[in-house]
Amino acid sequence: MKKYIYIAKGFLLERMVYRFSLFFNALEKYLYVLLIFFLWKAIYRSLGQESLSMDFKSTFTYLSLATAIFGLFQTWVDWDISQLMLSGDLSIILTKPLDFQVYMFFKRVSWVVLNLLTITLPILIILKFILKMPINLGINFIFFFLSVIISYLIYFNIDFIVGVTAFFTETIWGLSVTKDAVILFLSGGIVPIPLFPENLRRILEILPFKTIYHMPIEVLINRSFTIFDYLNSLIIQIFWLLVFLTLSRIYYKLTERFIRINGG
Amino acid sequence: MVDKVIRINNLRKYFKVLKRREGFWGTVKDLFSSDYFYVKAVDGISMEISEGEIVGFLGPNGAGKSTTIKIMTGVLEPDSGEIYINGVIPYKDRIRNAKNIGVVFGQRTQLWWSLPLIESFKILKEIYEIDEKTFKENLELFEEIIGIETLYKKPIRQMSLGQRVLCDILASFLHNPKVVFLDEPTIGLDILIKDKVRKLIKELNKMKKTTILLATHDMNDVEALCPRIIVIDKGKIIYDGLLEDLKERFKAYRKAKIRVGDDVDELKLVNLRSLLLGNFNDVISDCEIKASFLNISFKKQEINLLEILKFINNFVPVEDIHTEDIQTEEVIKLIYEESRK
Repeated sequence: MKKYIYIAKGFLLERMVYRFSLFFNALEKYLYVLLIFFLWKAIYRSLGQESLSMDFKSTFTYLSLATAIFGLFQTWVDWDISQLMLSGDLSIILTKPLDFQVYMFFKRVSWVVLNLLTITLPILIILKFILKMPINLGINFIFFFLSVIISYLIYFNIDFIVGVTAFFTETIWGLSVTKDAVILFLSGGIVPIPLFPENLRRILEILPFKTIYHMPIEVLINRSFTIFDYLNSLIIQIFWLLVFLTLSRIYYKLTERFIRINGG
Repeated sequence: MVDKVIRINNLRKYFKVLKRREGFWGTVKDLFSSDYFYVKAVDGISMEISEGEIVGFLGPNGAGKSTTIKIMTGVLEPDSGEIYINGVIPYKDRIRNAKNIGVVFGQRTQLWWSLPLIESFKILKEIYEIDEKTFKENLELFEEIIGIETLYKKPIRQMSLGQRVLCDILASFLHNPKVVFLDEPTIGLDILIKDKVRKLIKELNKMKKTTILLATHDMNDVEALCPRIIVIDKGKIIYDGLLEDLKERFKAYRKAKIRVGDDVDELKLVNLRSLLLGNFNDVISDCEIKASFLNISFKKQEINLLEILKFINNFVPVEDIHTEDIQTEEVIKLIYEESRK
């Protein structure tokens, strides 16, 4: 395990060398939050408060948090894997005593750390202390923290599955873009899930997507949550994490064998 | 048996490749095609390499060298045949195999691109779980052989290609592997750095008794480092033995550089060339024209140089001659040609 932590540290240091890329990556997300603000202001003005089941403040908080979490999770695992595959650098990793999936996780976790410091925390601080949005500072924060960690692990496994698909198909551009769009939409990243039509909401309830953005946000801002609700969300998330972890492990074993037989 | 670090028996690896058609409609048809053919990348290779040997692994581009190395490192799985590296079957136990080997691909780097060299070494120290003492000893040894302390603080991306290759080679020896695979380490390097790389490989092999398989196209690498060579072409071994023996086999071949008068016109020389190749087709293997020189390769046991000279002198005046023994490069070329006949 220690070796993977050193790998993460190495990539963290390497990422920090490129200061400007970090800065612009964060700036993009701040501008997106600004966009959400004006867009939804306009939507609320034209539709009127009554026709929507959430007020403007909640919607804005919800979507800004979704952006903050999306920014946190954006680590380009799938792109990285397909590039390793196409350039042939994959061979170098495979000649080392490392598990490829664990290696990729720790390589990319370094980005999560930097995203947290440059995107997620600043947005949270602006929302709570400058814009004074309705976010409680209590036990919900602890569960939010746990929930985000699990949701990243789920997200990583999906990303990884998409990435190693490149072993078969060589390119994953379409798949990768589709994945981000589907997850973002079905998980409440573009329109808050409470604003979805009743039927669609019932379908989303049984799908895994809500565990990624919707659940951590709910845990943080839903004031009616009891300890039971917090634990319930966690259990649902852990269930889906196990499902995706198993899937990605099995899928990886298949792709690894494929590449061992068919070459890079 | 025990001291054979690499043991390979009748190894085969065929790649299934889709037949590609030309043009727009051809490409559209390819989308639905299942018209495959097989490329025999490795076609029944057997070899045994003992501890501490440096073996040159030669072959023209596309001969199957890299595929063989990839099988030995556990990246690829063979279709059939036996393979043991330090007694481990690489494709079955990639991670265990990886602990005992070091690999350098000349055109790639295993080092962290933007980090100072020493950081990469520290990460490798953890990846291979190298203990503090071994790590220190190796750094001291590297220092003694090549003196790279000044590079420790330099990021890889700021290094010259030569410095980077030296560092990559050191990195592959850091965990005291039993076998090191070097895939074209001197590619694209200048003569001085090539010399340094060779010196480094030689010293490391001598001091650590590491078995080294060196794939290269540079015959000077082979002459400087490898008493034994394995030559493959089209996935098959065409020579496995001492370089000296191979040279001995082709010793009969000599080269003669013949200077003819400066005023001889080119066309006459071209005619002479075809006459020579026609008249002595068994003994002259090559004849090239360079300015007022004729460079002829011939088998000296079967013909007296004087006969050739006489023949030439009938057409153009011979002014000077210079003969030399065959070079390694040409020996290898001859063996490639021989196998393709």
